Amino acid sequence: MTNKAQGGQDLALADLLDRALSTGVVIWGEATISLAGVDLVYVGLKVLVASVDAAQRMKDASLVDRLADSGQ
Amino acid sequence: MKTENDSQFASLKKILTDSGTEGFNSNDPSNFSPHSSLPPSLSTSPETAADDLVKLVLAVIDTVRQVMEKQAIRRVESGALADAEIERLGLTLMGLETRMAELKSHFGLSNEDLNLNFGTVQDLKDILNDEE
Amino acid sequence: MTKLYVYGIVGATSFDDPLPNGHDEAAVFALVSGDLAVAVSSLERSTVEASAANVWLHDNVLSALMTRHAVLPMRFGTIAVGAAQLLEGIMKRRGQLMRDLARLDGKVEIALHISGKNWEKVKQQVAGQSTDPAITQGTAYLQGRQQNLYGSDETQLSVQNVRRAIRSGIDPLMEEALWPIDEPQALPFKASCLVNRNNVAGFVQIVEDIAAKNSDTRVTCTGPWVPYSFVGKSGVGGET
Repeated sequence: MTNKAQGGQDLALADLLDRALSTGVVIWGEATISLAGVDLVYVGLKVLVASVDAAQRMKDASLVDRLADSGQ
Repeated sequence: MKTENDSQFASLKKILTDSGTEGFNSNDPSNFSPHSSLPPSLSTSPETAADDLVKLVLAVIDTVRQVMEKQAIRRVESGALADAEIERLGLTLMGLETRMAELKSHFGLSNEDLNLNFGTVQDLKDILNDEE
Repeated sequence: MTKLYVYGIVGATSFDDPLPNGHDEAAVFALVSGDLAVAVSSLERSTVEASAANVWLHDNVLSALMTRHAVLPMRFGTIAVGAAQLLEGIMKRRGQLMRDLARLDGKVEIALHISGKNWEKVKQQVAGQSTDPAITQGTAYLQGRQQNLYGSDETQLSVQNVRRAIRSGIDPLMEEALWPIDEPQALPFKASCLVNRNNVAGFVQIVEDIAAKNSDTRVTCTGPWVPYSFVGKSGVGGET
């Protein structure tokens, strides 16, 4: 598939996600157990920095380097 | 269970018009590929599973980083931040971008590899604040 | 007790036509109360992951229902503990739901996008390229990112022109619209249009004609969608 066609298709998915996950009728309370999409996380800047720190540690850890090497 | 193929056909039906595509023919079978909404380099063989996990983690972090940048820009534009706060916000984001670039480079990943195209991620609190 | 995945509220008391299966291949059926029904399927799980496949599945069921009935989509991932509780929750909101069903019957949502063709390629201007000594590094970085988000003045102008041309073209065919008009416009421009289903082809034709005359912008329409964005909300307001 061409990049442009892929882009158009991704737009349709993005439009759907924008809508189905944040609009529509909401019933919240005793009737419901869960509301998926609420699982799409709100991440504060601090947590984001921590994530990048963790990824940095992954990079430094020899175990990950070995796996990365074996994947080449 | 729905397969990725089904999802991909569903999304093609939803495109009404697109002036950005040239010569895309939905009847041409070579235009279809399975798993096309996943990063092209994501595989399922066990040998590369660890690599794929790293890619997925970095992709998610990078997506969130970009969302945070957009939010930061909006905050700056709203005039709510003092100059010193703007500077600090900018430096933090700039630092994150540099580190992400290093990580991507270390794992041999390009921006295309990490492009998951999730669409917009809305704040949790916006979702919870929507009227019922 | 088996749980229920909830797809949407339907202005009918039975679903006569065969519907696609819902999550985990469960059949979609109606829970009726008075003159409205809720489209549900049985679910063993307590949560449904927000994956592309699952969200398409949700939309698939709604699109099938939409061809025959007035439908109000539920937010993705609504899972009810049981039929009785669900119907009670629905009945509490019956008034608003009936109004929305009447208002949205026979209407679909079209998503419109306009962006400069090359906006993805706008280079980020990183700190160090700023010529103003008063702007320090972090601030210059943010300025660069903002440039990337909004594109050049040229792009803004093109998008604005196309946006206005399209708006005046589609206005007669549009029932309601959620149409941001702030300047500058964060790209891509995204709007939601509520259109009678019979007017979809005409709508698309108008957009295509205008897009053809403006080759420096990319114009995309997706849909027709169940009117997700217009549930409980009416979109009014025009271009200034």
